Formats: sequence, C-alpha cells, structure tokens
Amino acid sequence: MTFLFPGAAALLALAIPIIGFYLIRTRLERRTVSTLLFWDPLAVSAYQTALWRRLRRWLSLLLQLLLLALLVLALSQPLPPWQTPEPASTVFVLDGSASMLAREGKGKPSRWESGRELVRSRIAQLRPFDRMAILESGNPPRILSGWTSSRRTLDEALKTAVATGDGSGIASAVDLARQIASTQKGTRIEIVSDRVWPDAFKAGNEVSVTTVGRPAPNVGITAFSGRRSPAQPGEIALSGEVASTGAATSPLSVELHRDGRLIDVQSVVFEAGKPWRHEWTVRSDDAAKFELRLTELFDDALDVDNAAALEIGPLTTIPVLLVSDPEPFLEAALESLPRVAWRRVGASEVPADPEPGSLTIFRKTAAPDAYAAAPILLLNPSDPGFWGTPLGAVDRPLVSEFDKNSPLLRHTAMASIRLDSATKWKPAAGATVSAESFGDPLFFGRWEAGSDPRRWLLLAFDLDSSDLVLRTTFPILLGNVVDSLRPSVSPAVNRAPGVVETLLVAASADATDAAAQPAAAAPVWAFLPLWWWAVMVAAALFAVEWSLFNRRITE
Amino acid sequence: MNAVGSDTLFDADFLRRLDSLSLLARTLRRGAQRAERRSVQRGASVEFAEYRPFVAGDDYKYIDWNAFARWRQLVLKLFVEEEDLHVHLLLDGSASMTWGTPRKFDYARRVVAGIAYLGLANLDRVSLTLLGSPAGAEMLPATRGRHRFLHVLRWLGSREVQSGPRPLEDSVRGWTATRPRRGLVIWVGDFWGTDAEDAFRALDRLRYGRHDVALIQVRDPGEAEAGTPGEFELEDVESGTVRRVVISPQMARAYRERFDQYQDSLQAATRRHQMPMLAVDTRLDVGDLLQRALLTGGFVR
Repeated sequence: MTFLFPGAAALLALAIPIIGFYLIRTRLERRTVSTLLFWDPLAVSAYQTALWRRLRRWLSLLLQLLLLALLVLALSQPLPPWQTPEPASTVFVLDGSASMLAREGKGKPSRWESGRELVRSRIAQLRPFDRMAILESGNPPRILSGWTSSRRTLDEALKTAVATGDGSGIASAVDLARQIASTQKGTRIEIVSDRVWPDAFKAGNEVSVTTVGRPAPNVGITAFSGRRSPAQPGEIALSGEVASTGAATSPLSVELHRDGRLIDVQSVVFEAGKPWRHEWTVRSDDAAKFELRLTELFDDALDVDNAAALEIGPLTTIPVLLVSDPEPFLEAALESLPRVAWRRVGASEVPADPEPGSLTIFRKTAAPDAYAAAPILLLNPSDPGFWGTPLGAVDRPLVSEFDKNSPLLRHTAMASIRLDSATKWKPAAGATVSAESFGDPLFFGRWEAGSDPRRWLLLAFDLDSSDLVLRTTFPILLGNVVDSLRPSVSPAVNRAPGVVETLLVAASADATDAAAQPAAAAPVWAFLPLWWWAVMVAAALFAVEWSLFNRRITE
Repeated sequence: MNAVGSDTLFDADFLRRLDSLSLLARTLRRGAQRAERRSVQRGASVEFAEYRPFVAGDDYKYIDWNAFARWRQLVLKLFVEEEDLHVHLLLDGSASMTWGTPRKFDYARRVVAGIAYLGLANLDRVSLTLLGSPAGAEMLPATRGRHRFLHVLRWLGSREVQSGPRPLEDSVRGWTATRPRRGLVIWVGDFWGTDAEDAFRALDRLRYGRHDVALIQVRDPGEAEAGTPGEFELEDVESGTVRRVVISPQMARAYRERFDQYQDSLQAATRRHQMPMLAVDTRLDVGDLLQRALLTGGFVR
C-alpha cells in the first residue's frame, strides 16, 4: 500500500503520552467521604473483581491506541493497490441518451442522475495532482469541462450537463474523448452509461465503462411519423408504432391528439414479440400538430418515450397564369381548386419571365421561349414548338387509350369524353403520351422532374370542340396538374427516443466488457478513499468508546 | 482539621439574630398551655397568679372551693409556674462531622450556640456535651443565665472533632453514664453511625433515660450524591477504611436510593418515638434553622 503523506506516521508518537497517561491513571484518585455507610450495601457490584478492573483498563487503552492508529492512517492518505501514486488523468463521457432517463421505480433516481452522482463522487476523490475532463454525449458531443484539477470547476461543469436524449452521439463523443486523451499521457477514458448504444458502436479496449441502471420494463412509442399524401395533399397520413419489452403487458391505450384535441383512441394489444402499429388518415389543408400519447401505463421505467409529437405544414398556394381569351368554364374550374391563385391575361400581356413555382396555361397560343423551363399547360396550340409539331386535323376522334396509372389522370374518366375534332401532333422527343386516339396523341407531354428542366403538357383538342368542360373530369384533371406542382412534403418524423427494445436490454448483457473492466463494475462506495473509511471507523470507535466510558465499562 | 475561633464562628450578626429569636421564643412560650407539657419538674416555685372561670375539661383539682363557697361560682386558681428545665445539648464530635464545605462541625457548633442562647435566656439550665471522644464525653456543666453565654461560646470555640471511629451508641452510653438530670436533650449531628443500626441504638439509649429528645441532623449537600462518575478509592474520614468503587450512573442511582432509604428509616424512628427531628444541610442559614426549630415544636419549653 502506498501513502501519499507518510510523514503523518510520526503522529504515532502520540501513543507515548497516551500510554503515559494510562500508567498515571492506574493510580486511582482517592476521594474522602464522610461515611461508607451507604457504599457497603452496594459492595457486590461496586467492588468488582481485580481481573475485570485490569481488563477494563486494558480495553480502554486498546481502544484509544486503535483510535489513534486509525486517525494517523487517515492523515497519511493511503492508496489502495489498484490506485497509483502517479498523477491520474481521466476523461469521463457521460451518456446522455434517452434510455439514461429511465427510472427503476417511482422516487428512485434515473440512470442519468445516478451517472452524474457517480461522476461527482469521482470528482470528490480527485487528488490535487490528478486531472479530469468531462464530456457529454450528444449529437454533437459537448465538452463540459476540459482538463482541470479543480474540483469546483468540475462540479460546476457537471451541473450544466443535460441529457439530450440523443443516443447516436456516443461514438463521436468517444472519438472526441480519444482526441482529448491524446494530449495527456496515460489518460484513461471512462464512459458512464447504461450500455444502451447503437449496434454499430463498440467501446474500445482502452475505454472502460461504468454501468448504471438495471434492466427495467418499458412500453414506449418507437416511431411516429406523418406526411401529406402526394396524390392528395389535403390528406395527412400518420403512422405510429408502440413496443413493449415485457412478454405480457397490461392493456394500454394510445391517444391521438390534433392541436391539443383528442381525435382518436386505440386499444393496444401486443402480439408476442411484435410491436403494435397503426395508421391514421386525417384531412387538413392547414398546418396541424399531432401528438401520440400512451395512457394507462403500468410498470414503465421510461417516461420520455410515452409521448411523441410532430407538425405537418399547410398546403402551399400555387399561382396559375391563364393566357387566354375569356373562358368561363376554364375560369370556373380554376376557381374551384383549393389553394390556387389564378389570374387571366391576354396573349399580348404575357409576362416576360414566369413566376417561380407557378403554372402557366396557354390556350390556343404558343408559349414564349422564356417559359420553356417553367411548367406550362398548352391547350390546343396552333404553332409548333419544343412540345412538338402539328401534322393536321383529326375528325371526331375517340379516346381509345389513356394511362390509368398516371397521377395526372387519376380519378378521371377520359374514355367518356366526346370530341368533335382534334389536332394531330408529333410529340417532341422524350414526351409521354397519356391519352391517344388510335395512335394519335390527345394528351401528352414531359412532366416528370428530372435533368431536363422543361415541364410541359399539351391537350390536342380545344375545349370548345369537346364536352370535357361539362364533365367532372375537367376540374379533376386540372387539380391533378396543379397538385403535382406542389412542393413535395417531406414526411414529419418525431424524434422518438429509439427502439424500445434496446432500452430494455439489460445493461449487463454486454457482460464481457464489464468483466474486462472490474473497476467499472464496482459499486460507488468502492471508490471512496481509504482515508474516508479510516475516519468512519475511527468515528464509530470513538462512539463505542464514549458509550463504554459513560457506562463506566472503560475508564 | 481546622480549628475555627469563636470570634469568626459566632460573629456579631449571628448574635443579633439570636436576640431576635429569643423574643420569638418568649412569645411562643407565653402562648403555650400547661397541660401540654410533659417535662419532669424539680424544685419549681409556685405562686398565685389569678382566677379564671371553670370551663368543661379543666382539671377539678384546681377548682378553688373556698371561692366557690363565697361566690357560688366555680373558678380555677391559676399559678405562675417556674420551670427549672434542664437542656442537654449534645454536639456530635465524630470525625465525619469534619466533612463538607463548610464543615458540618462548624455549622453544628453555631446551631448548638444558638439553642444554648435561647435556653440561657429562658433561665433554663443548659449543659453542653461533645460526643465522640474516645476518652469519654467532654462536657460543659449545666449553667444558667444569659451572662453565661460567653462562657458557652468559648467552650464551643475550643472544641474540635475527635479522630478515630467510635460508635454513636458508645458515645451516648458514655454520656448517660454521667447520670444527667432528666430533661430536654437536643442532639445535633449527622447520625452516620459505624453501621446501619448504630444511630438507632443510640437513640434508644436516650429514650431509655426518659429524656425528651429532639434531633437536628446536619448534612452536607454532597453527601446525598455519589459524586462524579469514575473509579475511585473512597476513604472513610472517620475510620480510614478504603474501598475501590466504580461509580457508574447505575451505581449513583443505587447510592441515592440507599441514602434516601436510610433517611426515611431515621425519620420513621423519630416519628414513632415522638422525637422532633429537623434534617438540614449546611446551605441553610443557622438563624433560619433555629426559627424553624422554634416553630416546629419540641425544641422550646
């Protein structure tokens, strides 16, 4: 065993005066009394045997010498064999993942709190020549404190640690710790975690892990996502997933709230080994906030995964420029479309440049070259262009074929349209024909967004020479074209804490790593310094001695 | 053992207090009834004082029949009675009386001096005896009159405690062997005998001498407690006997119980034999003690 302050052993010389006093006190104090009349009846208990008198004095001396020895031991600051007298440098990585927020019972500290307490105890053991740095895993990881020997600084830094709930940053946190450790020779990296890590992460051999927490039952939301339907942007599709670690769980309910109002309740029944999934469809053109909550929970260790929320943005308004003479049917159809801001101009009033994100409809007129890169819908143009070349007229055509799978023609009944006449076109290269009359294209264009920025559609007949405007197909067709121009709505995904199963995995499942780091697996009290134990034992001994002295068992 | 001179022992304040107490004693004596007395009277002179009407309960033998023949009314003839009372003051001079702060012996001497003054002022015959001497009791023969008080003080001032153990019974036996006249015996001491029954045997001897006995027990406050805890050698100041004792809280409680038990036995014995007894500790002012003795009864005639 090594002593940091071996000079304290000189205090053992205090044993000499103690023994001296003991020898002096061997001569009993004599007290004169007026009479022994009242002492004689108590002779049996008062005049104890000589053997006991000697023993009690030896016991007293023994206790006092033992007390002195313990105090000297404490002052000499002994180091156990597993600690070195050389300066120690340690980088602590505090895991701030969501699973660290789990509690193993009501009123008990969370894993995160236990981990912080563990680091705090290590700070308390810091010797003046030791150095420590503290990191908090997150994405990105955060350095709470750089190298310092100041306990106060480390304590203050530790107070600022907050569990981010993001467990993906543990690897980068360890990498950062390695970088910090490279600045100090012999630095030790210690992760304080519950070992619930991404599968890809493996702590290296040079990293020790102190495990906090034990396996606990948990039910939680593992996924909650939502997005507007690409086909019908007014519809919002929501998907939720709930998982449980227990083989048999109590019944629970899932509540779906929209803007704080309950809109649906589902009973959750788990199939063995499978998560529970459900999908909802909600219609809303406006922005909406959805929240999924678990209720009637029992035996749940982690609160953070019992609710999840996401926000869906509102539908965007598409500006539509109609270049045409007055056309009541067309104008009425545009008017009926939601989230469409349209206006009509004459052919001579076409703006030089198209409005970004807008749709321009040219009726019976060709589109200027400036509109080549903008989405345009050509209704029976008379002139050739980048869309194709007219070849002549087709009399009384029939819609013989149309692409039912095309999103532009979804829910339309193109086959029932009656046409008086149409123009026969040779579509430009790369155009896709969506509807035709026995080989003559009636509705074609290049609409898929790709490397070619041009997006155009062409209707090869005039509205006046068909009954299209009298059918519901017409506004549906226009709506499909407009909706296809709406910016694609990226799915909203709640940042759920992670896969629930992993939160429930026993931290000791990775037993091989724990075995490789015996110090990490030791309980907190094992890290208390030896001098602390010496003082504690001395205090207990003093209490015993005081009690014995008050009872006159010792002198 | 420190000898205390009579000047410091009996200072002027103490003597002035005795004067006031003598007035109190006279007042009390005047209010006392004859039939209550029980003392033995010898050589008492009787002279006519006055008549008073006969009331039920009066002794028939004191009815003046001549007056009845003349006045046709029953009257009693009252006399002024002068008692020639002997007051024996016994001062415990055993070595245990030297214990305490102040010494119990000094306190007891002041008490004896005070009672002697009251007796002398009443023209009683007062004798003083120092008990505890192995050679026998040291006595101041019976004396009378207030002018003898200085003599009494000198005698008391020159007394000192006696060394060596001596049973109380032997001391009392030594005094009774001098065949003192029957009278009032006032014994001032601590009554710590050589054994638990010693004091009781001594009291019996006094009782057998047909004396009226009154007791004043003088204690030091420290005697009622076992003292600070620890292991000690206890030395009996009287016998020199040494005992090794471990004083623990339990032991201190047992000591206190034993002490109280002894006191209760002493009180019970004196009550049973109609012996007035006052138990005081040395913190009480002697004047207050004497006043209490006067008011208690049994100490004044």
